[in-house]
Amino acid sequence: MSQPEMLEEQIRELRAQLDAKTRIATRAMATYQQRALQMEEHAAELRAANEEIRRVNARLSETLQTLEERDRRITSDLEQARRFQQRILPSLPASKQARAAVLYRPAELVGGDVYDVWERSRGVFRFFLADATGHGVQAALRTMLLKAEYDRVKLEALTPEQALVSLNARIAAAYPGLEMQCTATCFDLITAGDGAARVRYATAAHPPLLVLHGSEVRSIYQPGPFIGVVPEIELQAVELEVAPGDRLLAYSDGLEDQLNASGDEFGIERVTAAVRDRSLALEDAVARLVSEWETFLGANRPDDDATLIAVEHLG
Amino acid sequence: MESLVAGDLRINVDDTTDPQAIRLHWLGMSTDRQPEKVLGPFFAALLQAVADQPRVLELHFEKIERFNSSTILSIIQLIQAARNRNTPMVVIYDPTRKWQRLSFDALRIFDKRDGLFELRPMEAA
Repeated sequence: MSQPEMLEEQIRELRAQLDAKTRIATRAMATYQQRALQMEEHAAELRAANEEIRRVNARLSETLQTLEERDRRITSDLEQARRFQQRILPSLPASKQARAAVLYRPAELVGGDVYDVWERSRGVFRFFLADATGHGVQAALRTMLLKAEYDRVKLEALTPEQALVSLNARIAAAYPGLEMQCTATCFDLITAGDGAARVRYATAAHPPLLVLHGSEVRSIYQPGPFIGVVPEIELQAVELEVAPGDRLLAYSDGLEDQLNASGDEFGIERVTAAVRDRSLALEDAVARLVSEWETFLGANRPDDDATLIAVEHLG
Repeated sequence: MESLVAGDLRINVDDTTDPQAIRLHWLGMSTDRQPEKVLGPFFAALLQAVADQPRVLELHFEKIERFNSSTILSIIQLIQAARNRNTPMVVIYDPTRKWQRLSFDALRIFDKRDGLFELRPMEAA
């Protein structure tokens, strides 16, 4: 092969190589353009998705605001209900014959326990405690009706058992669907002015009345039906003598039944241990009980309303 | 009739041991705020199941750990519904447990010695 021919051959080879590289470059360029296009599309999709997220966030924010507003209104209503419920509870008697102290702890802002303390006549005190079925707002509404009904019957009832029987008749007649069913206890402390006193006690399915006499604890229990289930009930009263310094405890089951984180029950022994300490005035003993009860429960929220009426016969 | 499981509460239905009775064994705890939502339909189905059979409903509470006041309301409704249908019912409970004695003593008012409702402490069961 002559030199010119060799040069032509080299030129052909170089052109072939150039063509091949041009084809590769062209394909690469096409791929690049395609990818660029895809990225453009993805970017558009991302922009659209971002916009959708922004809109959803805005809606969520609005919904959250609405819920917070509702929550504020419900809490405010409950606070008002709590104030109403507190208002129907009586002030405690200040007397030379008797003093009283109360522990009242609804499981929620409002609760299903209600009580009344009334000096019927000079030196004669009547105590009433009821525990309505359920908890929270519905139970609190029941307590308001119960208290209103009790306030109507208590003026006419000469004895605690008459008060409960009359209350039952009214409740059963007005609310026949059992929706006002409750337990209740009622007792009179009748002081004679010379240090002597007696207690007349009646109960409708309520926990026992405890009498603390010195270091002795007497549990006065009478079986009885619920209030508000049947129109006519019969209740047997119990009468007992009490001495100056004796303390009487009426309570709802939520006080003793509360469990702590270990599953232990508070129990009535802790209640009597706290309240029978005569070195403390009755109010201070009940305050100590409140403190012990709260310490016992710890982080556990109470699951029932708890009420204790403590009464001391002073002489 | 199927047994009922609702939260911590279990009611085992035994309708085979005694041809004269359907036994309901209550176990665990009934602490729901609105137990009637579950118990209501269950009791309705139970009363329907015994509607055409001369069988006694036996409710056994000896082993239940605790129940709340809303549960006793549902039980009272069952007692009343059973009485209205002339379905005899027996409630067996443990009187040595204070909370059971307190709750079931309050039901004694339904025990009219007419064969339709009997409240039976465990020892006599």
